[in-house]
Amino acid sequence: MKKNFLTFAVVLATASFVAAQDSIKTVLLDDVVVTGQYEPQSVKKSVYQVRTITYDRIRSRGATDILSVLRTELGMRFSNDLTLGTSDVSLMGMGGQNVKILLDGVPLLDRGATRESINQIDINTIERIEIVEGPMSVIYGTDALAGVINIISKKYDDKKVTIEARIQEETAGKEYALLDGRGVHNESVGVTWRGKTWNAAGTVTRNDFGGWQGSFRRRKKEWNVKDQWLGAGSVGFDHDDLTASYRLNYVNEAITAAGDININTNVATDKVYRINRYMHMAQADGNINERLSFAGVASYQDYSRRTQTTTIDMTTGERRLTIGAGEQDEAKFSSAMVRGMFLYKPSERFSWQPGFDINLTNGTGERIDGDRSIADYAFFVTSEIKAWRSVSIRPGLRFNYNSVYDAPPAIPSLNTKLSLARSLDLRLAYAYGFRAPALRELYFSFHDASHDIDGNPALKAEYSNSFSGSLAWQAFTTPLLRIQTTLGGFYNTFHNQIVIATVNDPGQPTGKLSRYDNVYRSRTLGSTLENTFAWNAFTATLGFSYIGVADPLKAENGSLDILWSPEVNTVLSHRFKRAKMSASLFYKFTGKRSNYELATVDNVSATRLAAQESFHFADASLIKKITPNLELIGGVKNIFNITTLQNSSANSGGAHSTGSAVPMSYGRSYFFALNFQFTH
Amino acid sequence: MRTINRYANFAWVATIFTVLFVSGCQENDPPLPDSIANFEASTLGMGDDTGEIDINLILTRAVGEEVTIVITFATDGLVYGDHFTTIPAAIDNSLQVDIPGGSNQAAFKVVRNAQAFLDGDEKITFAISTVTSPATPGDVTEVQLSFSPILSAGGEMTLNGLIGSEPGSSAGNSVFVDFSSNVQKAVARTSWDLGFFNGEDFRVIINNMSGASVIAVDKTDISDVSAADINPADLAIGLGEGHLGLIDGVAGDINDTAIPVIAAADGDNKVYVINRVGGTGATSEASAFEKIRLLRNGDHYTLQYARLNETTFNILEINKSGNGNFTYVSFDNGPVAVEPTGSKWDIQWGWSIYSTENLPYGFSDLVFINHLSGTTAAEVLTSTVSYEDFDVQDISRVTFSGDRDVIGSNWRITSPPASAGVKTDRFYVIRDANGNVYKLMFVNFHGNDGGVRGNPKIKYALVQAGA
Repeated sequence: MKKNFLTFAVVLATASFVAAQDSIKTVLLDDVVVTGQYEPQSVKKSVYQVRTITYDRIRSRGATDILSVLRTELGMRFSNDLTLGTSDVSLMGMGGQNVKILLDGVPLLDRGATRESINQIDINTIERIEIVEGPMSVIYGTDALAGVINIISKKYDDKKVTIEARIQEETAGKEYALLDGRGVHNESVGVTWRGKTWNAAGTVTRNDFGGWQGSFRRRKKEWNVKDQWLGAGSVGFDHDDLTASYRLNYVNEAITAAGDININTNVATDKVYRINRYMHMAQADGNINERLSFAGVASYQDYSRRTQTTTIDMTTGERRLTIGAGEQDEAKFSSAMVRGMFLYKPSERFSWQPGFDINLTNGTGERIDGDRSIADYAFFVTSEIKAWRSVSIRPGLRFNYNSVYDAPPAIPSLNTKLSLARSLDLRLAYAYGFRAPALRELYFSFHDASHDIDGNPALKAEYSNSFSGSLAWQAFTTPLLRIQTTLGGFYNTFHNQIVIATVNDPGQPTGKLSRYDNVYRSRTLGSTLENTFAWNAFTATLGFSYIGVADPLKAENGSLDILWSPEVNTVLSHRFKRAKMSASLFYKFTGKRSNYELATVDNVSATRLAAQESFHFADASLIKKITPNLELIGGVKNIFNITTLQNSSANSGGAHSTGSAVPMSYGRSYFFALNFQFTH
Repeated sequence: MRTINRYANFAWVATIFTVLFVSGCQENDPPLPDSIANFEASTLGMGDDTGEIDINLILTRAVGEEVTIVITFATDGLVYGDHFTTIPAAIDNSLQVDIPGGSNQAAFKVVRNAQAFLDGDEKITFAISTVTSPATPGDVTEVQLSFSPILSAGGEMTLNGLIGSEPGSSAGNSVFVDFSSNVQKAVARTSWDLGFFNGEDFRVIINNMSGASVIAVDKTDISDVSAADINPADLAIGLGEGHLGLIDGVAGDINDTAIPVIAAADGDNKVYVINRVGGTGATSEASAFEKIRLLRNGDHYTLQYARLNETTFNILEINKSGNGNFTYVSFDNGPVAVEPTGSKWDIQWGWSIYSTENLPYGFSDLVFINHLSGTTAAEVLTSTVSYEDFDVQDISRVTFSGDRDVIGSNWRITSPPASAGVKTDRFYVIRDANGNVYKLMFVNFHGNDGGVRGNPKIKYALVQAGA
């Protein structure tokens, strides 16, 4: 099958290559953003401080997933669960459940707190990524406490037919096999057709990671094998004042954990997690008259995750399902959402944006008590007032009703932008953020020898008060020289944080009941400084951040002690016009991260400070345009050869992370890719 | 026309993608394991002291439908009806055993006719004749039953640790295994509360298999003791709670019980309060605690017992039987049978309270030897000699130990889950109370090593028969 696909891809690419006429154009969007905007808007005009990662940058990194693009962004950190083969993101010191992941404005469904959905998007369909720090709860509702990552898919405006193909081969550390097996293999073909009023597109991508054996021997791997098939298809309509589209994204993912052979029986046990994700999305935008326009999106997502355990008899080669408790399992989640927004502009200085947002979520299986549903209804309104030419004020208010828990009745926000000078913009914002209790927190159910954990239908939403400000200075904005500096700061307080609290309960078999409860307060604060310098064909960015997070253990005792961690990042790139080449270097320093822990050392239980070591991470790449349609990319990822980080915790070594070393990556890797693009 | 062509082209490309895509995503599940019917052992024996014996039939996998197994037998020196009978009854040397749907085993009984005089060299050979679908007959389709004790040459056994659908890490049964007779006996861990020592001392053990804990109350009148006399949290053990003084010595030393030796003078015997099931760092409700007082009654024991808040109490006299290590008592059911008597077991597998870092801690899959009856054992690393090669000459090179926990939890790995499995670099050698030396290998015990948690599979073979 894989071979067929490859052959097909190569034939298609070659055929199109011969017929090539147009040249690859770098799509320069001039930093236009859409997240939280009434309509696409330049970053400078936006009342939100938005960071964008452009298509160019995604492409030049040779990225095969979104995580590797975000890896060197300020305020972004990742953790990896090697047992399950998943990664989670944290933003501005807050864990994944506080980060809202959107695909074209539609929240992605995740089964738990871990944002594994972020790596279940085809990187080859992405135009850019927008990151907004701070809650955007008025428009996007729950979960956006730390911020929003909005992934924007490619639109291919003004092209009639576009064919894109990519083949990328990458090592996993020193492990590699051509096209299949060890290493990373990404192949993709996409076709877009755009007629006068109708348009259609389709992409299919194979994204395989052969795992990483590392120090393990025989069949076992430190990083599990992950094979993905990603497909997308869309049909769109664009006529006069109405744009409408339907899009289906499909993901088939299999994470395989191969087990060692039991030499007593010559049998090995393998575990496969099979994920099927369908995301249907319908969008419509239109103008009713000059003053009134609307934008609506509806989505239905269907997610299933199967745990399949099998034994393989190495003598006979026969594979059989196992019969132990919990070894075959399936969890199913689905969500439906509709969001509609109207934009009414009575005058140039004033606009209204009323909207509604309905989210229905359903879950069953794996540790969910029964078949459960949550319905969330919201009405919101924002308005943009250009009080003076230099001042924009954007107040917002959201009203929520939820079928299960007591949603915060009203959620306010206020964003302001002051143009202090032509090149100096000050943004100040207050927002009330909230995170609704997730289905699993309401209806969790897990009981075994040493656990009695239940959900809690009486949970309240977590909420936050968030204050942020930024000062952006465009010192030079000429085509030859561009210097920009943005200084930002934020302060957030969090209340009613949901954690698992354990109380003695003699009614339980273990005598203890652990239950999700609203317990903690927390706070985060920090500052970022981002600089861009561009001279001719050379561009450099340099960023610093210093972010503090209240320690969870101390917070448990009511004290919000802040633990700080610094970050530095830079991107250097240069375009060699003559050679039709460009070179880029991406680098980030991630500071030591500390936390208090209750540990028993030499039979004495005490609170001590543990820390995860700091590390440097860097990627470098070269892009060379061979023909107008074909470019070649090669590079090195993880130049500092990071595999694991030392953690000084005395307690580490839980069921899902082994030893005191925290897995970060699988070492220095090399990649090589061919990108083909044909437009007609 | 051009537009139509474009549509057609697009449709063509889309179709190819769809076909490729769908074919790329097909998943075919491997089949479930076969359900194979076997006798649990290939040789069994009935000594003169044994009136009846269960002959177990095992399915390697439970199936939804009822499985009917027809068994035929041939006798040597015996006549059905005169010397023995079977339950269910046999007709024409053939009987039928049904394994209910969802279950993986069933048994039939062979009952010795008490009036029949036998020499001991009589035998019956049972054979699996037919098995209904979907189950199929396996390798062990014959069992030879001798009417005298046997000395097993070895075999394989899957221990019946699970009572129902409980997680294997807290399997409800404790299983006693006797290698020489090819017999296992599964006992619900919470089926007893106290064990009265049949040896010289007046000692009483509490239930380590259920994680029970005990504290003394400084009173001698059991009626006068209530929840007010104790702090329930003081009885919590496991997961960092409690201390080793609340449980019997984990090494099984009979002189190291949590309840001290029963004094001859009644006035010296205090009231004790027991939390019957624990080990998770918490206790039952105080009202479910039991209060007890233990007294000597000549050569026997007297037990006074009641729920903690009751004002009346029950009395039970327990004779020192000299038959087995302990006489077991349940607060709910009075005297109960737990461990097989005397030397009729070699190892015991199951969950038990144990210790780590000098704190009580519940361990799954602990293996204890019958140290009180004189069983000894040793661990052998395969780097010295393999299980297969280990023979009589190697016995002298092994240092046997009489510690109850010489096998303990050393034979398996549980964490991290991805590395869980039996340790394949070692096996054990066990000298039973009769001097027979067996070698013992743990084959698998966990989903990760191809086994089932709660149903460990073992393999053993006779190395040397006792004198």
